[in-house]
Amino acid sequence: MASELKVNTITEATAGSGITFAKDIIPATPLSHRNMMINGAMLVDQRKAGVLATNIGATDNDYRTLDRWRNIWTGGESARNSLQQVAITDLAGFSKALKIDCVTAEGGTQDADESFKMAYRFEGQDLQGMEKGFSSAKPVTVSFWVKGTASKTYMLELHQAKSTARHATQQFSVTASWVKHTYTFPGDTTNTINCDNAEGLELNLWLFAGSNYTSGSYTSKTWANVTTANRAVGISDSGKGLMNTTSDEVYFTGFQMELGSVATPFEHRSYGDEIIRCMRYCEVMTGTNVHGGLYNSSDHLGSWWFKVRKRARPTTTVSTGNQAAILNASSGDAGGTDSCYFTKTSGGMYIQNAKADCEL
Amino acid sequence: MRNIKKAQYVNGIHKGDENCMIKVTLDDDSDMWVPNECMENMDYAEIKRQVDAGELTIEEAE
Repeated sequence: MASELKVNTITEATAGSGITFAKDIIPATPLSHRNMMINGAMLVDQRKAGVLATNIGATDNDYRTLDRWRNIWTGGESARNSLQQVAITDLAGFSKALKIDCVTAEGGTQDADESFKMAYRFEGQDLQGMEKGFSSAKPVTVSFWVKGTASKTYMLELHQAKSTARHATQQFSVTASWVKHTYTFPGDTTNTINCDNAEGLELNLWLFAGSNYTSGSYTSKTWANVTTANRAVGISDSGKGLMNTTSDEVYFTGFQMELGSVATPFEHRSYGDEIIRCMRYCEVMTGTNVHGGLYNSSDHLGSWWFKVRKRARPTTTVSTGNQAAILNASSGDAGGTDSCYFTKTSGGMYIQNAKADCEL
Repeated sequence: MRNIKKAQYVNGIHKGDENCMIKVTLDDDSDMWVPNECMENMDYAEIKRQVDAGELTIEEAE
């Protein structure tokens, strides 16, 4: 006969004995792999290894520093920011953070279309557990740590870009001390997430936004069809937010998004585990020195086998090497997600420092 | 993607690999190699957007 036991705490009967369950425990949400975000602890920075990336603005839309974190500017004029993975010593359990600094403040009147946000993009096939678009849609809980140099309000947004885009928003506050925010978004019974390798959902941190994004109304943690004017309502300083003065900066770490309505402790993963996950989207070769040989009477060819199969055929760049072309498709390898090859019509060919990038 | 100064198709050395890549030179004179007709690649998606908008022309392969 089924029964239900409602308790808040189970403690051991005998000190030191621990608690043993005689049968399987079947949780409503996962015991492992809870955190659906990669690099939430800001550990992996393959592109810059902690070096500052600065003077970012205008329409810059790229991954400049930490893996999986995209900076997105629209309509920017004079304002510029910097990004950097930094070491922190004032938050137990976390040693790295993403620092976002205002290096040139927004002077004068902020244009309506100006905006700056940091975005984390989830692959659709990794979000099927949300059951989004079904009557059984599950809530997700987002938690993170944030600190700034002044008291500010910014916007957290979950955004699904489909033909009828959906979003849910939540304002969050920043002070001069580390604060942990925890927000539960209800399940959304509208718009399924395609089970493929494309973007399924975007987590946005709106830090600067003109009236195109702030002139609407704000409803906390409620899914709705996207109204652009509602996306970043309430950002401090009439929308100037982080870009108000050059003394403004903000730090983020400890991001976790998990199924269910409870924020569990941050799921710490090893650096090795985390960087392998990141490499599905970007892999940086540092000093490996891969050579090639004679392929036919005139062409030399070498192969760079990726450590991790890529989400999609990547864009490749070489910062140190001696090659004429980089290619990642051939008639027998339509995918090109496992390797690329490089060519030259003379000897001495190699690549040494390179990047294969297929971020969302 | 940063501003594109030049884009040019690239042929592979295998049969059937004509125009399989696009060599993109950015405004800082760095080169990147983007897989052609791969909409899953965000750089190609941006190149296609610019071509469709008449903002960019891709030169023929050498």
